[in-house]
Amino acid sequence: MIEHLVPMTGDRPYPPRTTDFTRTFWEGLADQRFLTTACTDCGKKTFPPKPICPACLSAKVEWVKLAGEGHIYSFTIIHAAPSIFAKETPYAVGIVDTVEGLRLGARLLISPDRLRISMPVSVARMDYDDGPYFGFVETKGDGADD
Amino acid sequence: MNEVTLLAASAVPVGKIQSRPEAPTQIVEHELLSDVVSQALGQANVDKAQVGAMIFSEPHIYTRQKYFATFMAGYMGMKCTGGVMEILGNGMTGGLVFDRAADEIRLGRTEVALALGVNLETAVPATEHMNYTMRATGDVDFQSPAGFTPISWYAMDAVRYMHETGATREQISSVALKNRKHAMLNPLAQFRKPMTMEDILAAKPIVHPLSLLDVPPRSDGAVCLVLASRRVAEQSGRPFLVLRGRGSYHEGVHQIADAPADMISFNAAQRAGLAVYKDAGLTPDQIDIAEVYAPCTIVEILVAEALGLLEKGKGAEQTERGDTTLGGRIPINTSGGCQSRGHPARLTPLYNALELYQQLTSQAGDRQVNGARVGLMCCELGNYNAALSHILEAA
Repeated sequence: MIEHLVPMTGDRPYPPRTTDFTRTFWEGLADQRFLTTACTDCGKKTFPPKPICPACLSAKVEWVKLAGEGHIYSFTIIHAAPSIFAKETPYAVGIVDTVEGLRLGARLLISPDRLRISMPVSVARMDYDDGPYFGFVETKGDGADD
Repeated sequence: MNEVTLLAASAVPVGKIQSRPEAPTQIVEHELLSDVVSQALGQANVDKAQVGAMIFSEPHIYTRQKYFATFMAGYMGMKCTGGVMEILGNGMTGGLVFDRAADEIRLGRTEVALALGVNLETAVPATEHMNYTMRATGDVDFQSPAGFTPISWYAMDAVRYMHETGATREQISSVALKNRKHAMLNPLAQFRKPMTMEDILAAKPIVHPLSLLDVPPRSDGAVCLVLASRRVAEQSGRPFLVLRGRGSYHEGVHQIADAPADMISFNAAQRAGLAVYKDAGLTPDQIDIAEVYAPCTIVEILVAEALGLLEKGKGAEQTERGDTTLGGRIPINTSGGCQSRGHPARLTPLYNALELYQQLTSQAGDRQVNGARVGLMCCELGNYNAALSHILEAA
């Protein structure tokens, strides 16, 4: 269950496409579930979800829930953005390593002065006017050192 | 397999060349490039009829003339037995152009091949250009919507490198300072005025921790290299380089692996490096100079470490103390690099080859590295997810 719902202003600057296959992911996100695929032959989970397994190229995959928890491997703050993102600058993006052993790139909805490597983060749903996207917020009750 | 030489290299100075759409007099791609080709063939002392292949970098979408390679074959009246084509491979484009032109000679399809192109983009504002380039450096559905820009990945390399090694921002930015010193001595460089560390630190933030002077400028350019068989090169009576080795590797990753991994070891550059050294029968300590594709300051440090030219984790410190400066242990990017020579992205590796040509044939003027005989170049795409490296030696 995605607990963090973050209101955003306006429409998504660069909305993702939905396919017959990825509809499960985007509908899951709308329903506060953070999903991906796992190979039923070799067991490998992957993100983004894919209709084939990048480890063994099997086409037998199943949808699985992710905990939506991880930590920051690295981050940056973007001051000079593509014009379609200009209204959101400055904004933070980062690389998140999840508890399932996946690595993904995402928006970090965290104040720049708090950002640090290894910070525990939790998935959030970014609620734009035209639909959702995903990002990460600082995990509540984080007791890690600054 | 036939031996390959680099016999000539000609280019216009890197800078802002592209006309604004409303300008009454326009600068056009084919006039700009055909002039450079004419100069390069004169320098090579080969006849136009000897050219049997032309490998172009694909011009940006802003370039009006399409099917540019075959158009140019017509514009210049070139009859070719080998390939006439355009190549696109992100930042690696120019390297792939060089590689493919070399293959034409290696395979015996021709004895003279041109590796060439134009890059025109500076009349398009950076914020508009990024709407397009962000699609090349991320998954357009699962990453780009978060707002990643091409250089944001390098910025994350910098944050991670500082975390792991304790390197300072100033040490990383010493790359830009060093490259400016080099560019001041290079007539083809875009930025040649003196610059200080204070200037770098005070410049506009772009992607934390990098400022405007840590990242590449917008640049246009036009370049033509003449590659030839050893027979033609020797007949020309002109100085030339021999292609000693080649190595490449794609790590099967687009920007970031889908599982935790060491992002800043640049393992594709390590693997390409091992391959090129093996192919050349050389070791890193036998390299006299290197021209590496490094859009941001941090990238030069990381690729130099991956290629064994700087010590792992100490590259920033070693750059700051002058190891890679002209006169230092291993001069890197004597052209001025992407930050100051400039970064016409689809041609940068060809401009890097041109710098090796000028240095290793002792035509580098005030920035000449005395006695330099062996040079390495390396280019990449993504966040160094793939690397392509060549070693050239003075004949």
